[in-house]
Amino acid sequence: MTVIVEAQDLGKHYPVGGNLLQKGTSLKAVDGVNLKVHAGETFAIVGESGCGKSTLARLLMRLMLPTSGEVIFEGRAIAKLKGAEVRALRKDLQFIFQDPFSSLNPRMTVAQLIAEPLEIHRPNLTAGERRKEVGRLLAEVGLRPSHMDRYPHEFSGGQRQRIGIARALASDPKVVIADEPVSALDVSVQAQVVNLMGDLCDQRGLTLIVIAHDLAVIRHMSDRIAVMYLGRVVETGPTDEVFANPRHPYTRALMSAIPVAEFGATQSRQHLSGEPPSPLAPPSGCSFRTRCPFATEICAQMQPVNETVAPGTEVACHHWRDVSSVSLTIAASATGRSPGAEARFAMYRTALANQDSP
Amino acid sequence: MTNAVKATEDAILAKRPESRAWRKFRSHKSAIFGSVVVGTFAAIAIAAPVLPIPSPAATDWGAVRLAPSLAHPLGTDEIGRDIMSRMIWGARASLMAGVVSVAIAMVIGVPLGILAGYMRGWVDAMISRCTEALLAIPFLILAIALAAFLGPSLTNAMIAIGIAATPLFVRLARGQAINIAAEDYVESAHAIGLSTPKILLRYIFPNVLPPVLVQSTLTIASAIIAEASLSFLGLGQQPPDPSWGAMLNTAKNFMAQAPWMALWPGVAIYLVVLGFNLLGDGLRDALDPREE
Repeated sequence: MTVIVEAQDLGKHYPVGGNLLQKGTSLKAVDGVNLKVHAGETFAIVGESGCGKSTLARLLMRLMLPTSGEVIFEGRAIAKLKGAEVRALRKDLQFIFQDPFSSLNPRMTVAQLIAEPLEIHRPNLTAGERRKEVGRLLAEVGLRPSHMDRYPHEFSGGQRQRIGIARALASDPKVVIADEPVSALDVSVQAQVVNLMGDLCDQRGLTLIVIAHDLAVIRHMSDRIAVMYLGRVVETGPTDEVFANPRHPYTRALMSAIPVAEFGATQSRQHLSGEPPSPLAPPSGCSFRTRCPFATEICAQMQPVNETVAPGTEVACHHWRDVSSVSLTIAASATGRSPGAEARFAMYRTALANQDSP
Repeated sequence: MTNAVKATEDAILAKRPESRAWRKFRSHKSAIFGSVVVGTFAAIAIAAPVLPIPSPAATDWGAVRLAPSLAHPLGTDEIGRDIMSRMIWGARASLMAGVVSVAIAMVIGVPLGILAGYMRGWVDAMISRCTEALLAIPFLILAIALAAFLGPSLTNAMIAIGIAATPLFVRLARGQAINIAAEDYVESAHAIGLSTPKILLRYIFPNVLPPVLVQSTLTIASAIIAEASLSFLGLGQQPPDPSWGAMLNTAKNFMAQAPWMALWPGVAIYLVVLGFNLLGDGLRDALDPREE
C-alpha cells in the first residue's frame, strides 16, 4: 500500500494575546500530528468539537499553512509548492465542506459552480463540452442534469451537499477531504449522502479522508481511523480493530457512548467527567489526564509517545496495557440491530434492489 | 427514463440560460416606476436643445416673478426667465452631477474597498487610513475645497463631489468584503484553485455589490444637493446656465412672493431621488438570485 498523504509532526499554533513588549501564549489547535493515509482507503479522523479536526483538514488541504511540521502529498511537501504546482495539487486534492448552505456561492448557478473547476483544470474543454460534463457529474451524484441552471437556494440540504460533492469531483481528484460532510444534514438524508460517497470512492478509486464526530458514520464508511483529543492524535488503527478493541482511555469513553439499539441491552458506559481543558492552557504531560480515570503521576510529567500496540495500531498512552485489561462491552453487531430488525432491513433492501432494476 | 423526458432534458442541456435578473426586474412594479421617472427626466434633459422652449438665459424685465400661466407654464423667476425652460436645461446639470459623481465615487471606492477588505494587512492599513483621513473632513467642506482647488466648472464640481463621496464606498465595500471573504464559499474557491483575480471578480464583487447599489442611489440624492450648494457658492454650474440646485438657492429668497420658484426644482429633485431609490431597490432584488 502506497502512502498518498502524510502528516509529519504537523502543528498549527495561533499566537494569542501578547503585544510589542511581551510575548503572548499560543493556542495549539493542532499539535505534533503524525498520520499516514494509504492510496484508495477511507481514513477517518474523529474527535469532539474543538479538538482541531477541521484545522487538521485545512492543513492537509493547504487551505492553511502549518506553523510546524510538514504535509507530504505523493512524496512532496505541499507547503513548498508554488504557482502551477499548487494548481496541480488542487486538481488532485479536493475538499467537501461541512455546511452545504454556506459553501456554495449564492450568486452562481449549479452549472457555473460545477463548471468552475473544469475551467481551471481542464481548460481545453469548449463551453458545450463543459455543460455536458456538468450534466454527467450531476447524474453521477444523483441529481437531474436538467436542474443545472438553478441556483443553490432552490435545493434541499442533501441536494446541495451533492452539488458540493460534484464540484469536488469535477477535477477528477485522487484524494478528497470531507470535513463533517453530513453533520449539517437531516438524519434521514445523512445515510444517502454517506452511501453516495462510499459508492463514488469505490467507482473512482478515491482516497477519502473524512472528518467526523459521528461514530456511526465513521464505522460505516472508514477503513482506518485516527482519534483526536485537544489537537493531538491519541489512537490510530484499522476501524474494526479500534472499535472492537479500543486501547486509549479516551477512545474507550467514546466507544462506550455509542447507544445500542437493542431491547434490554445493558452497557458499561464509561462516563467522562468535565469539559475538555482549554487549548490555551493544556495540562502538562498527557492532555487527557485531567479527565482520565487511569491517570497517574507519570501522566502529568511526560507526554506519552505513540506506541505500536498491534499491527497498524498506535496508541499514545502510558497505561494502555492496564486500560486494555479492563473489559468493556460495546455494541455487539456491526449495525447494532437485533436479529429481528436485521431481517426486516434485509427485506427492505431486497425490495429496493428490485425497484431499481427495470 | 422515457424518450420524451430524455428529449426535454437534452433540450434544456442545449439551451443557454436566459437572463433571470432582467425577468425579475421587469416584474418589479416600483422598480419599473423608478426607471420610468428617471428615464423621463433623462429623456427631457437629453432632448432640451430640440424642444420648442425659450432660451433659459433670456431675461424679460416685464415678466418678473410671474405665477404659472399659459405663456410661462411654470412661471418666471426673479429676472423674468422662463422656469420651465430653466428646469429642462437644469435637469442636464443636476442629473449629470448626481450620476457622474456617484459613478466616479463607485469606480474608485469599490475596488479599493474590496482590495482592502480581501487582502487585509498593510494594503488594508494604507487604504483605510487614507479613507479615515478623508472621512474626518465633512463631506461638503471637502467637496468645496476640492472644487475650489480644481477651479469653478460643472465638470470640476462633479469630480470634487465624486472624490468627496469615495470614502463612503471604500468603507462600505471593505466591510462587506471582510464578511464575504470569511464565507465558506470563498474558501471553496480557494480549494478548487481559483486565482485571486477571479475570486475577487466572481465571489467577492457580486456579493459586495447589492448594498453598494442601494448606497449609490442614496448618494445620488446627496450629490444633486451638493451640486446645488457648490453652484450657490459659484463653484458648480456657472451662471447663467441653470441647475436645479442653483434655482432652489435663488428661490429661497422669494419663498413668500413667488413660491413656485422653489416648488418646481424641489419637486423635481424629490422625484428624481425617489426614482433612483426605487430603481436601486429593484436592481438589488433582481441581482439577488435568492429572492424569488
